[in-house]
Amino acid sequence: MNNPKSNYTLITGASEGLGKALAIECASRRMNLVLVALPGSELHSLASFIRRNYFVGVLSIEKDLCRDESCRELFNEISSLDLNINILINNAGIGGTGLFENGSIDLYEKQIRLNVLATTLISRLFIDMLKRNRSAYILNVGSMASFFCLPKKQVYGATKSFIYFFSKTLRRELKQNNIHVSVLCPGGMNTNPAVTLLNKTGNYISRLSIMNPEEVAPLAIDGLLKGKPVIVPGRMNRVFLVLDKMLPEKIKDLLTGSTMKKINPDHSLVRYLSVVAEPGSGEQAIA
Amino acid sequence: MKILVTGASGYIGSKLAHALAVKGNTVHALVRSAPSDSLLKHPNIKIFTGDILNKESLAVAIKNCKQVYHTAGVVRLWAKDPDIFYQHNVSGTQNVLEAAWKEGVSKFVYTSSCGVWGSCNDHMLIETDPRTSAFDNDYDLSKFLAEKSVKEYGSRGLFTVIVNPPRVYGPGPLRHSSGVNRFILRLLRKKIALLPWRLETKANYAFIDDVVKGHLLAMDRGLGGERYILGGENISYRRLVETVNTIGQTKNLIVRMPPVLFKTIGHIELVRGKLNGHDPLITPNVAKRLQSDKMFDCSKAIRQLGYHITPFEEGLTTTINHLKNNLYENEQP
Repeated sequence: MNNPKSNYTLITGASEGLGKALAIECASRRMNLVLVALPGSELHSLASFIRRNYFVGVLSIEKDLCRDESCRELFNEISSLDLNINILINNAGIGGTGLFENGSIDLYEKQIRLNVLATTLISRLFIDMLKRNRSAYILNVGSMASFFCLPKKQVYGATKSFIYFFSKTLRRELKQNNIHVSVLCPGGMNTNPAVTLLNKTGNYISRLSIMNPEEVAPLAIDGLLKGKPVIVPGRMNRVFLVLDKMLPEKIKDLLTGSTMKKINPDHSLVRYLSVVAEPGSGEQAIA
Repeated sequence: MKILVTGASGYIGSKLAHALAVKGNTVHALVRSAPSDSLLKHPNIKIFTGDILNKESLAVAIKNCKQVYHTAGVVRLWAKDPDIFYQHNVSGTQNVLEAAWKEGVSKFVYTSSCGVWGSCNDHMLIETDPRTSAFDNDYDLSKFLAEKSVKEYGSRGLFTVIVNPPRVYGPGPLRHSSGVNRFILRLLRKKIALLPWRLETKANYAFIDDVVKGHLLAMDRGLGGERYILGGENISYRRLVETVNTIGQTKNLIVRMPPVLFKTIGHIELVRGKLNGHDPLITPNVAKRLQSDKMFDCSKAIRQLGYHITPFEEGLTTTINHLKNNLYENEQP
């Protein structure tokens, strides 16, 4: 092409936590960015911070990707601006910890819409654009919960197993088009103030495996660019995976049963959640 | 005018109380225990013994006050029980806000910290910048939560201004919050300076008089709901030590600590601290913080408040003279 379009990396859920860390990591690698997050988030201040300090192009778009029209609007906006997406990072997701019977229908619907549907729709919408590149990348954000049946993370874990299988299968399909698909499976992270507070209430083993997004982000982008199929950041998490393959089901259930009672509602720090979380959201903090 | 200053026996609080008293205000100085020395001696300073965790004592101290400077807080590198950060800095701040709301004060200035941003890599941070690293320590997180509470009262209609000082140095009582002064004192007395490996690590150092004036300016001219970084120059460890040596006419042998050693000592100290309850000299987390850049840009405060930065050499000269003249006093822990 005589006049190549600039390449951009699209990151969803970029205003906080891992998405923010991924945005900064990509900017430090001189990638132009399209950042997407919910309206009312601190997305624009992140965008101007990156523009001022990393000298890359940053477009910030506020959209609630739980609505499928938003996914289409996002694609149309980017197409009409003639930007070329060569790296797609499907990071937006809603987490949560709590017994199934205590969670609201609304939360589960949102989790499935954002974690499953938005990832699928956005990947489908951008596939032709990605194909037009000599090589392109898709990074989907799964979780350690993709591998384990963790009590109190039923719906979340199921959406993340979807991401895991979706990514690994898509990888096989898109190989011939030189699109490299990776799935990132991080363990617990200090993604935002509410989750950071909750993480402090866990037991020793679970606290030991907690990582910070800015530690995970470089590992994720390294793994993606190297074309790794599955990226598991952190030594503790990899140990968990090896144990998972070795131990019999019964013992695993015992272990994950005790370590995953991560949140202790009687912990003194829980009352400070109300400062950062929506009133009444209690355990179902957004990750 | 009657003005409440919480944390009035603290490093910033005590200097602020004096500055307000000298201007002819009646200062209601809230302290946990009345200081025995001359720290708060001034005819315009009225001492109220109480605690921000005790709502009744707050209600007494705030009576008839038109303005509040909330400087009280737990400023420490480490605490055996991390809850105290949240109790004092979050619940305590909520109590002061509630008292101010009930009393109907006209303006509220909250002393936050540049800790809410964490480290900066090689950029200078400004007020609107996001924190780019996770909250890796309780102090930073507690100050962030406190700011959230201040903003919440702001949205209810309380006129609030937040100020964010970085590392502060300059004459004043030696407290947990005057770590830079203690570092300078150590440089003046000891032959060896233990420093992080990367001597070019830069942080922002604010002169206490600037910070105190910045508080007054924030109350006077600060826009409601805004926050202002009250900093100074961004200085590397190398320049800090060299400047202290030049002004103080001392010589320090600089020993650079490799990060691994720094961290290991931190772990050992932490175990010691947990066992016997003494404050560790350093923790792994503090080691990490000391090894990361913390640069800030105070243009907003300069532009909107008329904030002034004392040149580092000038501020340090005053500080070193003070520390040398008060050596006896400083012998006490």
